[in-house]
Amino acid sequence: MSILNRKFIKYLFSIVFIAIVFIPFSYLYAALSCSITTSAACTGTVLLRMSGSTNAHAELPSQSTATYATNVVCCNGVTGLGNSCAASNNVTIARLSGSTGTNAHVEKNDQTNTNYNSQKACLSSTFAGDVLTVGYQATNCTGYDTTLFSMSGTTTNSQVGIPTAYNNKVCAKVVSQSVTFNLNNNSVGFGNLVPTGLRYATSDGLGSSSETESYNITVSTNAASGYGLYVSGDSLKNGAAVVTPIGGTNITPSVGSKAFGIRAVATGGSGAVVTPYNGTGFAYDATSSTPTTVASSSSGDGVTTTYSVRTVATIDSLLNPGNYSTNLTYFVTANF
Amino acid sequence: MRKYISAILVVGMILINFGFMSPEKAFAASLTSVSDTVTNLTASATAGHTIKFTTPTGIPASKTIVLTFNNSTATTGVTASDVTVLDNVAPITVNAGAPTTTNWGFTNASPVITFTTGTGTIAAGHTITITFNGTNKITNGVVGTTTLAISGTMADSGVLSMAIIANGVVAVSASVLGSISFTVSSNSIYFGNLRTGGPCFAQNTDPGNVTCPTVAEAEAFNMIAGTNAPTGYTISVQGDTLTSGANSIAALASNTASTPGTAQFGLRMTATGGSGVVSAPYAASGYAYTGTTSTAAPVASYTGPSANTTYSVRYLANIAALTPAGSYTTAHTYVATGNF
Repeated sequence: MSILNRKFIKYLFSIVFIAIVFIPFSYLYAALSCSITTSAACTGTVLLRMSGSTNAHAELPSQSTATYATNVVCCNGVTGLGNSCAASNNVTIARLSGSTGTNAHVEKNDQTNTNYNSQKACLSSTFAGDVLTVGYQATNCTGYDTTLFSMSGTTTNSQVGIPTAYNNKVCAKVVSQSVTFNLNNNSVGFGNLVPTGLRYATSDGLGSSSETESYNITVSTNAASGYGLYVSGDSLKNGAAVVTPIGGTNITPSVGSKAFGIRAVATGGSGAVVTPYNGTGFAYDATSSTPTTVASSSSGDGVTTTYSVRTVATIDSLLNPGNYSTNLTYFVTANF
Repeated sequence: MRKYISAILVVGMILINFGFMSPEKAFAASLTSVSDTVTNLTASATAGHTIKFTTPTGIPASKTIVLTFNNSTATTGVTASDVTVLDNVAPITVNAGAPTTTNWGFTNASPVITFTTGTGTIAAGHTITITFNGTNKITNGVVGTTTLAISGTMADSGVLSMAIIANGVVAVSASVLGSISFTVSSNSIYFGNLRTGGPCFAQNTDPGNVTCPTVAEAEAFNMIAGTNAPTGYTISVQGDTLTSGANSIAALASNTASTPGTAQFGLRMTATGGSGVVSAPYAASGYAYTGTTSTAAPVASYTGPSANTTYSVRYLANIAALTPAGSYTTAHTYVATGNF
């Protein structure tokens, strides 16, 4: 190799390295973990089989050539992981030369050489919410979950080896989208409302004269832009008779006036209750057709936030007797 | 020559990585800011969906945007008229089937909905908002994580997840009991010794053996009534006129002014506060009494819920010169009835 060629390759490696370093990463990563094992020792998913630890040829996981059984790319750590190129959620880790799926050279997944068109090695997931990414970079797999193997060349017609064999690393990561949402109670009651004091809904339906948690809501997500927690639903109603919703200002209702409201307190995670539900008083400005935002998080840290929701009501002396009710529908939107 | 090429590559990569140009403008990319606001995350519930995503590459004409739900989500029955589409804030008309000029086409093969762009294009970096909130709604699948894959022949693609849970609704209940309040300020009133020379009004203190201690109209007692009964309340009085054995002082059958020297017994009321009103014949300036021991006479009422009304009750008694001497008494029973 001439001095010029070496400089040229050095330039390219530097360029690739710099380019990858500056690529922004906005996702949280699942714990995809791959290592080189024997076929027999692999308890995970085999993505590629190699004829040796370096200067090797490749074969597909579906093959069973004995000499390829001692160096397999074995991956685990992600539920639903697979190596199917037919799965709806898959990514090609390498294109293999020839038509047999064994004794092959490889090329990157963005190459289009005809001799590599029929055989591919893939990483797949049964979960559509998993974002699978394969990258090729020099030196290391910084920014990825794991190193799959290494290539003798940078693009095509490469031999393969274990991760330390060559400087050209084949890297992978799995971003598993997650969003969880739960209500711990679907039915609460105030008992008898009175014009002489405030009542707070309780999970036993009897109500309380002192503020207490009516129910709680737990939310978590790893969505990059977090989430919003919303509620829709009318105030307490009995036919045309309505316990007036407090509206969009956080207040402590006046005893003897008609009022219905909620407030929430957040613990854990990055979620926060938003105005007007984050004060010491109460508010309610949603309707059955217009939701209102109760809480939000601007970034998903994957940690659960628990929202303790307290519900208040009071009435005047003129409100029609009867049974009052409403359904409050809570929903979460993750912003991926 | 190689130095020249390398220099070009270096400059190119710097431009790319520092944002002076983006390779995403030329190649497929992941959709960004992807979300789906589902108005009810309860399993098997119907819900509105507001799907938003930003396309880094843009969408040329005649490309498909395919929305694929999983986890048993059903889009059955959703039609083009149930959908609205915005390109940033500009509405895009959607019609069933193939696109028509700038209108997007719409097909539904549950759980896959396909839009086909018309002759217009979506610029790179624009946000598409697709709202399903028409008559026909999307039906949630089963409990678990549901994904919505956004793909098609447009260059960009993406996926998002939502949590379908057993029940996302909190049922809140309360009771309001029927109530009526009613008080009477005094249970004994006194005229003293009746007279023929002028009217005599009752008072709530015993004057002893005194002739007509209250000669001008004054409140004998008051009653306070209020209720949340939807159709209000009625106050009635039952009891005789003043009697002394077989003798009695004639009750005024209609509202009549006081005529001293004539045997008369009656009452009138005034109302303050709340919504209650005094009933005829007790509301005018004269006096009347139509109750008997067996018949209650309504004296006040209201037709809806009312805050407390105070009824000031005034009692009149006159006697004639021939009215037999004796101790005349009666007991009047007031009853307030809520009309729930």
